[in-house]
Amino acid sequence: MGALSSAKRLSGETAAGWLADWWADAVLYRRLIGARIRAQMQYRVSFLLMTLVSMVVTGSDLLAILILFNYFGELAGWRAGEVALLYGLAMVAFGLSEMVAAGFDVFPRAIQQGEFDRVLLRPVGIFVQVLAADFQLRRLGRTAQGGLALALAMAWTPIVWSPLKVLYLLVVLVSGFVMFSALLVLGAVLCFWTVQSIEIINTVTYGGTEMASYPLPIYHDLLQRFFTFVVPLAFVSYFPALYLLERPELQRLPSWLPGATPLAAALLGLTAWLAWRVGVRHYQSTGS
Amino acid sequence: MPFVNRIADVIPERASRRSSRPLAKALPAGRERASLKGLVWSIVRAAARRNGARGRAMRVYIEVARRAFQQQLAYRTANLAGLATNAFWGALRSFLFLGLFQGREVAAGWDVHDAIDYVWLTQAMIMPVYFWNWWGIADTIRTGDVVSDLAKPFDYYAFWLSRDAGRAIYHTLFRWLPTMLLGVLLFSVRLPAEPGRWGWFFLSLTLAVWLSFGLRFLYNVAAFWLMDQRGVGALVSIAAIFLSGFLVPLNYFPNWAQDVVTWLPFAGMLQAPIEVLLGKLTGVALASALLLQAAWALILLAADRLLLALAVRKVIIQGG
Repeated sequence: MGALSSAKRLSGETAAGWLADWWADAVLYRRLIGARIRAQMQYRVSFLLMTLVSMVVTGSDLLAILILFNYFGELAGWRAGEVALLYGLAMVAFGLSEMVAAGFDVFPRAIQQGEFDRVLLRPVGIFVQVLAADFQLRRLGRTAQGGLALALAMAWTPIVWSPLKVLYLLVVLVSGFVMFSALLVLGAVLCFWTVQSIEIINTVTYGGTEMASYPLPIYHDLLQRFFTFVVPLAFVSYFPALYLLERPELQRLPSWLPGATPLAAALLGLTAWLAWRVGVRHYQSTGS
Repeated sequence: MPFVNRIADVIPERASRRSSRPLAKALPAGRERASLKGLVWSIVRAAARRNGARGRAMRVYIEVARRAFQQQLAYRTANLAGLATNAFWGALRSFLFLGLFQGREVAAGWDVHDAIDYVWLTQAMIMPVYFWNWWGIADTIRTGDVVSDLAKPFDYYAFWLSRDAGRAIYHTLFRWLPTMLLGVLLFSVRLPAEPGRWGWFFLSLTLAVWLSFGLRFLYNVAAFWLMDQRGVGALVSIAAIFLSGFLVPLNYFPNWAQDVVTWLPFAGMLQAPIEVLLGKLTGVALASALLLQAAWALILLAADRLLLALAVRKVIIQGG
């Protein structure tokens, strides 16, 4: 740990220093997560059971979609396989961020109990400490069933795969992961001011995955704009799916729109990062 | 978490002193006030004084329910946030069903208005029925508080049922009602005009709460045997969410599945009361739906009591 912390605070404002900080954080994150995974693996049966439960719980959403489409056949011109693609894109992204960035989800507790004071005192990155505070490997369950949905989508839709599309799919999943993580961070940032835990961000994340599981045009204009410009989750699933499936809806939209997904992710991620820094500076301990 | 499980929180002494009810006045001051047992006994004594032997038990349970109701009043912000969440989901799900019904008049006996009413009723009923992830009793088993609850001079099952009744009444008034009103405002949810239908609905809703409680009691008491009952609880919860018709109305399940799920206890927790309010059940169908709910409630009651009896035999109090 000594090497870590000395590398850490040499930095100053130079680019090299910033890079050194970043690298130190990455190494630290890997160590903290490694410790958490080892701890969770001590109770192997319990871990496997909870992962299974997590898969069943999240898998019921997919089953619900399949039952609905078994009866109704289609939704605004989208069939089961196509909706499974929307759902899978949203779930893999959300599942990953729920697993990796869960520390921000439980952040209100850290503020209330004064735990964050201790984080500030340590000579390593603040962000990375909070990030690593609640890594739960069993949350892979959600990602796994998101992957299952993607597999179903590939079996049931005539997507013509090209190297570009495969690359695009990966970029979209990473972008979605960044966006959901950024939302979790923004939710945590609110707690610097409210102290109480704010449920609103859960509405945006969980509600966002629900929204992102269906084609955007079924929603009211206001919601469509909200999920395109304010909380740009339409870029996680709907716009990418238009491109991957080569849907006719794309002809009525700017053709570069699906390509803007990483940009939207970068913007949201940057917003969250800046908000986080402002929040940390604003922080006043609860004193408890 | 809106559930604080210790009797000390159910009957907080400050709250009782502030309250102007005669029962609260009967609470002892001074020495006994600090003692939990003294507090509980004083309630029993006060109840006995007021109602005689016959009404004694009932009076206590009504008081327990009232305290559970009052306890919920403290979480006003949380309730508002929850209301916003329910309304947001109500809106998202309404658009889903509006989309599904495009170019369709009727699907499985429902038109689009029925589907929208269903969406808002499911959102409104989440909190009153409370059909997932409730750990009220399991938490007391983990902390050991269950021992003092079991030692109290009233029936353990009836104690928790009364608490849940008080909670459910609160959530019907402060969550169900505003959610439905938002549904009326935002999506023109139709509320039936016949008072009779409302009567049957509230009877069905009451049975739904009791059913749900019976199930929650079961997986909570399982904590006596399991180190961590959360896995079991989560599985039961997801079964309840799925098979009650919360995610998909049961009438859209494949026929073979419908034959099974409509007979399970879960259907009585959501789908049955909703169909009663939508006016889909009349005459014999209405009677049999209510009877099925009641039958399952009684079966779960028997299972709860049996499991509790087994659990109590197992409890070893270590003191300390």
